[in-house]
Amino acid sequence: MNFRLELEKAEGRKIMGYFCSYVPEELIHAAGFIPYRMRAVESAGTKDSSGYFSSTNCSYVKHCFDKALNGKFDFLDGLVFMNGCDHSRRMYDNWLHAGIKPDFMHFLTVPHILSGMAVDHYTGQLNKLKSSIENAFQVNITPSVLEESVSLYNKKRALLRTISEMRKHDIVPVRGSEFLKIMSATTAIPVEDSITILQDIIKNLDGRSVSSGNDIRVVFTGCGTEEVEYLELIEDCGASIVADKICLGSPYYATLVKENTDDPVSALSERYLTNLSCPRMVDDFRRRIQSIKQSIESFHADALILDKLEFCTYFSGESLLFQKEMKELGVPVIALDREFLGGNTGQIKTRVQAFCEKVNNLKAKI
Amino acid sequence: MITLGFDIGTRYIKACVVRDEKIMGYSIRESGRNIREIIDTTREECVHAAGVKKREIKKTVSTGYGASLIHDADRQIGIEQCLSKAAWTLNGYCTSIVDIGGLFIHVIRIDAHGKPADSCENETCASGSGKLLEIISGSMNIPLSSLSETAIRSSNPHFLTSSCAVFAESEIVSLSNQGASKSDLILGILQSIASKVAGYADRVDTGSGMVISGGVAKVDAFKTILGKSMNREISKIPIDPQITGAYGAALIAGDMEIKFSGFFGSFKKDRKIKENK
Amino acid sequence: MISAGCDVGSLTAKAVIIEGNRIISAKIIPVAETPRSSSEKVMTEALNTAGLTMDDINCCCSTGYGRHDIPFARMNMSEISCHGLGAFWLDRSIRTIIDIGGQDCKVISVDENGMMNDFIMNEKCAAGTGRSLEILSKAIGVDYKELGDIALPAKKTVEISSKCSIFMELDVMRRLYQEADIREIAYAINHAVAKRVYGLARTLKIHNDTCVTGGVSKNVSICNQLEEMLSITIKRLPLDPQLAGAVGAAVFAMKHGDLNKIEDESVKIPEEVCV
Repeated sequence: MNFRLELEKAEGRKIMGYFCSYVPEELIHAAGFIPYRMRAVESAGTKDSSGYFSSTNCSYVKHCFDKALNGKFDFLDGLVFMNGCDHSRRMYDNWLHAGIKPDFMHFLTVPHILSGMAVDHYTGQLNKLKSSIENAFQVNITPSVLEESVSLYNKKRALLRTISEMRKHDIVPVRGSEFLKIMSATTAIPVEDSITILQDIIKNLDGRSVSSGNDIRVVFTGCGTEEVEYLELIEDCGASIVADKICLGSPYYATLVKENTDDPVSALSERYLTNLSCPRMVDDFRRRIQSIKQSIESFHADALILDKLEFCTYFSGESLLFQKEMKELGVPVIALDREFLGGNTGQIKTRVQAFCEKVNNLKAKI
Repeated sequence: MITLGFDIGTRYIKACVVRDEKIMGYSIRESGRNIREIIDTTREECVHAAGVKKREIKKTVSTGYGASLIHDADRQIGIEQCLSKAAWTLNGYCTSIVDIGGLFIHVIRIDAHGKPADSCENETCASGSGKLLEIISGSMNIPLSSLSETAIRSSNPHFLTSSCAVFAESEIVSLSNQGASKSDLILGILQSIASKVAGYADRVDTGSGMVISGGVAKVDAFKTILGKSMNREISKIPIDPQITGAYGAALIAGDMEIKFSGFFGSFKKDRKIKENK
Repeated sequence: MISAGCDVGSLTAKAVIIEGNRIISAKIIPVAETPRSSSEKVMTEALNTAGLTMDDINCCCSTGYGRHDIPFARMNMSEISCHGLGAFWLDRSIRTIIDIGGQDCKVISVDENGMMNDFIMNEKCAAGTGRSLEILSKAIGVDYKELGDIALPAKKTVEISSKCSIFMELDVMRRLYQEADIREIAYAINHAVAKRVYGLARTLKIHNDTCVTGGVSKNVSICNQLEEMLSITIKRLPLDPQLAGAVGAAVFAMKHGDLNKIEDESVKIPEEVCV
């Protein structure tokens, strides 16, 4: 628990955790909670959780569950799970089996396809989540309160977007690792604070420069990227991350939720399901690759870094298709395969530095 | 009655001659190129150490990964049975045994009759096994026998981030190149092995009397570290931990004879069960 | 002008001093306590052999895992670029370099100027590297250097699963405990490693002018199997292949020093580092 949350907690505010980007924070916020995006960073290892998982399970999930077993999430008053991927789904089962806190847990089922029917289904699921929170905590989430939350979060997303847009310039004002730090912080504190912080950051970014002459510009995509040090390592090798497509990145602020509607819950459903998708969504590959191509173009990127966690089934498939598409487009790609908090920095450094040298060699030829 | 037990492991070949549950002699040899010769030498050394004649050996039982190599064995028995048998014979109160060998880690719950009740083996990953320790002791130039004293000098262990044994080695080499102290590194490795083993042990209801055996048990500090990471007392098997499997095999060979010899043997066994309860 | 390359790996440190197209001095030592001390030690030895001092070196480039900690290096390049350029400088026809070292296995492709334009490196797994060969040869009690020479293909090669270099040992031990011929097991081990390298190499365009560097290049059996799998002829470098990275670094330093192209002359190598 961070310092900010401790203060809020002392004042009696309740905190609700959630996994993955398909759980609407707005709904949690409207119920009077501080939404807290669950994270695996700062885990001490996977000693206790390895008994619950096999050696071919995702290390992110293992780290997360280990934190839970060690009481690192005890400050939560509630927790919303979702069927993000099979590894994280099984974490829910293990969570129940281990009988750990919090008392309120809800499993949100999110469709894997994109269609009118799926949106309707998802709306139903969100209403279910809404009433389950309402019943458990004796609160009433009225449409007007929800509207307010929506507009707050839209404001936050717009601010994040403004920062991200600044990275399109030749002189980059903020490093990719710093941006991840911002994302990581603003998903763990009250949204009202996030907005003030972000406004502050934007003021300070004016005229700032973090780019150095020989750095190549890259778009970074991956799953479960939460470690700021990891991005720092990559950037220190000579790759300046100007755009990303990670959970704690562009998809978060890609689209806004429609305001001033009769039914804010359907507006949420519409936004969350049709937003820039995660590879968990079936039949949406074209849109994902399109958005990557667009990022490469609009952020003037030289190359693409495909980062994936070991045993991530979704990204294993995606990674190969991305490589194929990029080859056709003539964009150099490097695929990195790693464990969460996996160390092995020597090899990553070599690989990324060599990749930068390769991109520079190719650039020199043109 | 004199019996012989063979345990053909993935790294070492162990033989043990037993008379009435007492070890008369044993021998351990590294496995390698001329496997037949190595086995013959091990057998001869063992018989010689026991001070018996070959024909005095009534039964032979083999176990381990290469159990089928002992052609003249009366039976081949699974390693779980041998380990439980050995641990239970030495200490009637023990409820489980953890054996950490070259490539395999076995965690076995032992029932009141000295038989395995439940067990768990590592998956195809060597990150918690003796092999990792062997590789690292080799690359750091610290003999296995002095790992323990090296580890206890440290109070600030370096945690390994890599779970793969081979990459753990490269991590160690680079940490050591950066000037990390050897004892901190060794303690870190022992702790990471312990946490792996503890993870496997959690899958089996190990009870209160846990015994540790196998080559890794020779590293004294490891017992304490594993105990700490599992929050319990763990005792080391009171014989050379590496020959536990071979000893168990020899004991089972003895049992085979007892069954034929009838009343006296079974009487003795029954008393043991009562004591255990 | 005189330039130097210093390659500090995880096991050995290498230094090479070149002048024009001539290697003046080359040294390999086992690593010392820190990359810094290793680099200083190996450089001093190389300088002494050449009868030079550090002031005579116009530019020095570092490479290898310890490349960031070398005080006297003015620049650093990744070992991938250095291996590529080094091998190319030694033999100008080379376009593909397969480097099988202790922990890493890389396939590097270079252009007509020796600049790396593509590469692939093994993922977070050591199966198919020198270290796994070493572990497996120890398991069957054969000296690591002998492994290539004693290997003999059997009618049916034992398949060794390549999932994990340590668990490969289980398959090896199974064959050993079935009392299979040691030469056949040795072949199977080499085959398993060659197969891994082939899997990596296949993802790149492999040029007919390929050379193998790194410690494993001394294993005849693996080289032969690779030739067959990739249907190419493997060229041998005229000097100890372990030095290719340091040579490349020295050439980078030379290019950095006076930005000219590499002179298109044959390279002169002192006898003691020739093979």
